[in-house]
Amino acid sequence: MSYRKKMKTCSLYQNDEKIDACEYQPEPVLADEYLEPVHLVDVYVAIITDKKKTSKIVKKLNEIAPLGYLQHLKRIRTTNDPAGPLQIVLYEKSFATDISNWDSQKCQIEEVISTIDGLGKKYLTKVPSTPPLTRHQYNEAIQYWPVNFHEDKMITSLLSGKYFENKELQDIEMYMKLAIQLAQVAKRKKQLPIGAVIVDPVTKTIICEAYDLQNSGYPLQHAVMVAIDLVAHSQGGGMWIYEDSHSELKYASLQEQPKSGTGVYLCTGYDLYTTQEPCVMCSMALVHSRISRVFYGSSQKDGALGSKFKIHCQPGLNHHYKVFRHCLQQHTDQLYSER
Amino acid sequence: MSEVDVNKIHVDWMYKALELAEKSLNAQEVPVGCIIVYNDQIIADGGNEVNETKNATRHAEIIAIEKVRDMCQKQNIAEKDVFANATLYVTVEPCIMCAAALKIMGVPLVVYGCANERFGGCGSILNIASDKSLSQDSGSCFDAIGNVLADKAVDLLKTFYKGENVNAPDNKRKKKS
Ligand SMILES: [Zn+2]
Ligand SMILES: [Zn+2]
Repeated sequence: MSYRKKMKTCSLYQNDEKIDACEYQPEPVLADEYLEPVHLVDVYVAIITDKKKTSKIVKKLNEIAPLGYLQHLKRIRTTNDPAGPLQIVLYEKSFATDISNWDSQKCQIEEVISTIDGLGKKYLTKVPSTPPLTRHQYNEAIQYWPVNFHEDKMITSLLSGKYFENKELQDIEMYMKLAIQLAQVAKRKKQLPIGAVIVDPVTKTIICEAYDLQNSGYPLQHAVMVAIDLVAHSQGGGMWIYEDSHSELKYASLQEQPKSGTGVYLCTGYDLYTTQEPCVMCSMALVHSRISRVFYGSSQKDGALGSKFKIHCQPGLNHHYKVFRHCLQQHTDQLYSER
Repeated sequence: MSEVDVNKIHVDWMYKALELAEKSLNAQEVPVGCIIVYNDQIIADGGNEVNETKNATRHAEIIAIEKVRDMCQKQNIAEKDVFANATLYVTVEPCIMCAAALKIMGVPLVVYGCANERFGGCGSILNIASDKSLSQDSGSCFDAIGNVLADKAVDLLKTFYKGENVNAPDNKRKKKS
């Protein structure tokens, strides 16, 4: 079993329908925290009645009532309210109403605040409780209170709809088409029509071509699990032995691959292309294998990379990877429309 | 059977799993041991074979599952029935991947030693074992009993992590279980 360099020469693929070049950007599957609306919390604020005392007031408040987890808030906001153009955050409401152990501290704070010159009466207002992670969240947050925003360029780029350049889009499309072709091979072999391709994006080498084998009798031989095992084979390891009738399963042995500087370790640095959203088992197998990015076509009900879970950015796990979905979705959906 | 008797049975089997974990340790694999018990007999065992196979999915549970399949094929018995009446013992809480795999295979009961804080799929990171939101296609939920000889399992892991995973390149040298 060895990988044939020119994958397009196989007569196998002649029936393949033409897939038009597509300008469509694969959709990033981000952690929920990037997509959530702004969360709010009640804080006490007061008008600064004596503008000249502002810096003194800020200094005193930072001392006795530091913002703590509300560090992202600007302590003071300027409004066009002529009665009190400057407003300052005093402290969080739940801090004041919290149970006994805060009581003495709270009394202390209120006592000190009452002695501060140049402060008006305190009142409640809602402010964002977490720092904004996206420009969208930032714009929403400042409707409530001015906040600091440390823009994550990567996230902005991912959300811009222009993350991939045309050249990259062409590569993505090419690899995705190959995954679709493998799904069609699987279908002809009475397997589930799910294809998977693992690629080294730096050397542009196809490391393996795989498809689902669970209909062969072993329910764990999902396309992704087969692909991961073929990568292991490519590195001189591997576990499963594949029947000759599955000659379309291929891998590029290390000798056939362009030399990469860093050496190989599991799926480090590799991208997976698969026609259907991976399940929990497969998504976690990709964490263990340290995959770099996953591109998939159709979502599925038990999918673990966006539908039911987001294993690729699950808090607590020591490896995260990027996921892009709905690549050539119209075509992958056709594979699953009859089911 | 009283609860005490049941616990004693679990402890006895767990000692067998721990023996396998110790073997993995000697083979420079993360020391996790697993046995599958059916009709009061060990029908399969497994240890981690990640380094040996260069395949990060070769966890003790998966190895043991495949040994059961081999046995069923050789003896021409229906593997579904065997898995449906088997108990899997493993020294460390199954990871998310293995928990999902055990659901697919239809194993109804898993007994484990210590929690798996890094990857655990029976509650530590996610609770795949008892997740009812997944469809029938993902298999059925299983019962998980933890904290059986946990200290002994932890000791083995600690011994392993004092050394390093020699197969990982320097910059990627992560210890995993
Ligand atoms: Zn899967
Ligand atoms: Zn596992």
